[in-house]
This record gives sequence, C-alpha cells and structure tokens, in this order.
Amino acid sequence: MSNFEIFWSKFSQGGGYVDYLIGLQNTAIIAVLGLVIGFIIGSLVALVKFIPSNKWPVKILKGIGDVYVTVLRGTPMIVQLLLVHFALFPMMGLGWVNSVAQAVIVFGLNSGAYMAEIIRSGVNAVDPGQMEAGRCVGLSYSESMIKIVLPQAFKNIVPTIGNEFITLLKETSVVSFIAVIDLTKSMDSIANSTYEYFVPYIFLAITYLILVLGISYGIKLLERRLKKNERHQ
Amino acid sequence: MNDTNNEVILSVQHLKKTFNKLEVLKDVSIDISKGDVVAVIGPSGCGKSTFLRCLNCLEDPDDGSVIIFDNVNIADVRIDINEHRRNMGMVFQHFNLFENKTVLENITLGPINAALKKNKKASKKAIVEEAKTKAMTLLERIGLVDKANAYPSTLSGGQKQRIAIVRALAMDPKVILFDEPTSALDPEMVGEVLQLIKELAQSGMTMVIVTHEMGFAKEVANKVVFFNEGIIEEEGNPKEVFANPQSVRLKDFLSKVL
Ligand SMILES: Nc1ncnc2c1ncn2[C@@H]1O[C@H](COP(=O)(O)OP(=O)(O)O)[C@@H](O)[C@H]1O
Ligand SMILES: [Mg+2]
Repeated sequence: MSNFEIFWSKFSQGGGYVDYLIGLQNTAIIAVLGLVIGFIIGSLVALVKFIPSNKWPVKILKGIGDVYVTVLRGTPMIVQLLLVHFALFPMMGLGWVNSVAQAVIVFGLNSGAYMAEIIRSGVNAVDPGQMEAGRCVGLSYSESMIKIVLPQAFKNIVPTIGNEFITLLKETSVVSFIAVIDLTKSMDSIANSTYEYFVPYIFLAITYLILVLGISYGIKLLERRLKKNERHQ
Repeated sequence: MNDTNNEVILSVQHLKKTFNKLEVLKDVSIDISKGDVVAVIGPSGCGKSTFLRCLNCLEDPDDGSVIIFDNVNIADVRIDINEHRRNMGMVFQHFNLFENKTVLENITLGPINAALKKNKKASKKAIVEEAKTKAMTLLERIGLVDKANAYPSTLSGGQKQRIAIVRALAMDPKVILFDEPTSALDPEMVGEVLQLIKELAQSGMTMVIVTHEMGFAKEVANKVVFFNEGIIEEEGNPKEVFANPQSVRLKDFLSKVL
C-alpha cells in the first residue's frame, strides 16, 4: 500500500474520520468561545481602565486588571492549561468539569488579557477630540464612549482581533495535553497507529491552513463593510 | 452694535489653571454680556485655548476660580456639567465631527440626547423627528442639505467646519466658543466659515472667538481681549485697541500679525 492508501484506510474504514470531525468541532468550539469570552473579559478590563476616577474601589479594580493582564500574557498558555486542569480545578473540587469546557475557560481568560490590550490601544488611537466633541454637545463620558469612541475603536481593531482569532485557533493544538481530542490529536492518533507520518500531518497542516484562510477572508469582508460606511454619499 | 448695559451671561472671576507646575492662566477675569462677540487674541502658547476649555470645563479650573454661567458657578466640581455644556457650544480648530456618524446624525445627536433627558415622557419618535427637521433647516441655511447622509470623511474642511458650527447651533446654546475656527482650513475656505460666524454675530449670538484673523476681529467683534502669559494684558473696543494699543507687548504682537 502507498502512504496515502495506508492513511486513507485508517481514516475511512478505521474510523479516523470520526475523531477528525470531533477534533474539528472541539477546535472550533475552543477557538470561537475563547474569542467571545476573551472579547467580553477584555472589554470589561479595558473599560475599567478608562473609568475617569481615582477613588479607591476603582483603583483596586484597575490594579486587578493590570495583574491579570501581566500574568496571563507573561506565562505560556500550555502552563495555564496544565495548572488549571491538573491543579486548580481538582483542588476546587471541579475536576469533573468537561475538559473541553476547561479548555474554553483557559482560552477565554488567556485571550481576555490580549483583548484588553487590543481594545485599550484601539480606544487610545481614537482622536481625543471625538470624546471632547461628545462632551461639548452635552453627552456624558459614558454616552460619548458608547456612541462615538467605541464604534470607531472597534472598526480600527477588527484586523487585530482577526489575528488574535487565528492565533487562538492555532494554539488549540495544546489541548491534547489535557486529553481533549482536537484536530492535531485526531491526526496524531492516525500517525501513531499506522507509523505513517507524512500524509496525516500534511493533511493536518492543510486543514489548519484552510481554516486560517477562511477566517482571513471573513475579516477582510467585515473590514470592507465597516469601511464602506464612510464612503457612500 | 451692542450696548454695554446688557445682562451679563458669563462672568469669569480670578480664573486660574495650572498644569503640573506650569501656570498657564494666572488670574483671568472678564464679564461677557448677551450678544457680545469677544475676540481673543495673543501669541501662541499664551493660554487662549486653555481659557476656552476652562469655560466649558474640558479642563478643570484650579480651586478658587469662579465661572458664573447662567447664574451657576460651573467651575464648582459638584454641579452637573453636562447640563450646562448643553447651553455652551464649542467649535474646534480641527472640527471634531463624529467620524462614525452622518452629517445629520452629527447635528441631531446632542439635541436628541438632551430632549430625551429633559422630557422623559415624550415620545422618542417625535423628538427624533423634531431634531431632524431642525437639522435640515440648519443645513439648508448653509447650503449643505445634499450632504445630510454623507460621512465627515467625504467633506472638505470648510464644509466640515460649517457643519460643526451648525452642530453647536442645533443645541440652542446661549454662548458659542470658537477655538481658531479657520486655522486648519485651506485659504480658499476661510471666507465661507467667517461669513457664517459673521451671520451668527448679526443674529445676536453671544460668542467668544479665539482667532488670528485680525481683520475679522476688527469687523465682527465688539470686544477684543489680548492674552499674554496667562493674564489679560489689554482689552477694549477693537477699533481702539487695534488703532491705539497701549502695552508694549500688544504693539509688538500687532506689528507681527497685521
Ligand atoms: N493638557 C495639558 N497638559 C500640560 N500642558 C498643557 C496642556 N494643555 C496646554 N498646555 C500648555 O499650556 C500652555 C498654553 O496652551 P494653550 O492654551 O493651548 O495656548 P494657545 O491656545 O494660546 O496657543 C502651553 O504651554 C501648553 O503647552
Ligand atoms: Mg490654541
């Protein structure tokens, strides 16, 4: 049998495709939910930073945000994942929680730290005159933020968020360390059981590439739609 | 033009503003009456913008400063400044139109927000319709009705500034502040903006205008104020001030700009 035939027989009759589909699903779930949770956490952390007050409860919140961002960005995702899965969750009596859900939580927290920075710099990139003009027509700070500054910041950061999504997607390959079947794991199994490595890993690389190209294309479309807003008369 | 016994609408008393250790405004006092058009002149960096920005609290004045606007001391940090800002329009050097809003939305955003807050029971639809109608009337006045649905990035500087002025007008302010409204414009667009400001002056709008257009100041203002190093060094009727400057600094300044 040729290399490809070995792979194909394991993939089809051998049931490898079932793992592949499960892997695809898990990879997608972890990357997408991680991104969504990350966006929510990141927005909250970034917005706390922009509260124009120096009262102590606000200061404490800002401090917590800083520590969170520093720690999560300063350690590898794989370490965070191992720590949560093998130490923190079992210690809190949460060892029974589904591993995919654990991965989603870790990816969400990790991505939240990066998103906080992305959103913060996106807001900072909006001309301060926009906020001032909002205040000058009688809008409050938060109204100006919501109606004027954030929509402009969002438009600016769409490409960066796209990159974050692509990074997350590729990083999902670390979840096999906590026994989640993802795309990488599914091909890994075929390779290890057939001792034929070339075709499964090439197949894996192509799968990732197609996903990444698809996301890039989606981001481009979204960007173009947001830009068109400005041009039409 | 204006008689001096008009009601004072904006009274600034001992205004001070310090950035870190830099004393930008040292002790500024001035009374502005209804219908006054005050031209603020002075060398760059002398605190003209800071003065305007303190008037509507874009900068917090130092403690002890008093700005009585509409019988309220808006320098007091405890008052609701949003409410008072609605009565005080601001036109910026760089226009600052809301980039994510159409021209029409730029003009109606403030008025709709204000009306909804003032009258919680009113129907939103009616308020929006009223604001739109008014905005269209204003656009008609400046000949830009066809730009109602355009975004600011598609407009020329002169169009942007005229829309920024109309945005301020739509709030029915009692005073409008202008910070070098023509300084960022190409020369051929300066005229259209000055013309609009002149029309506002003729209609009796109270205005404070920081400007380097001395000819315009002489023609339109009824009071000119010369700022230098954080104080008002000289003030008076423009014709007298320009024809007969007293201080050495003002003479020096005028010799450079005229
Ligand atoms: N936010 C600020 N922080 C620190 N210094 C400032 C700030 N705004 C203005 N200044 C300083 O205050 C001085 C007066 O500035 P400004 O009022 O803009 O002058 P003008 O408008 O007359 O040119 C300048 O030296 C400027 O650098
Ligand atoms: Mg200035």
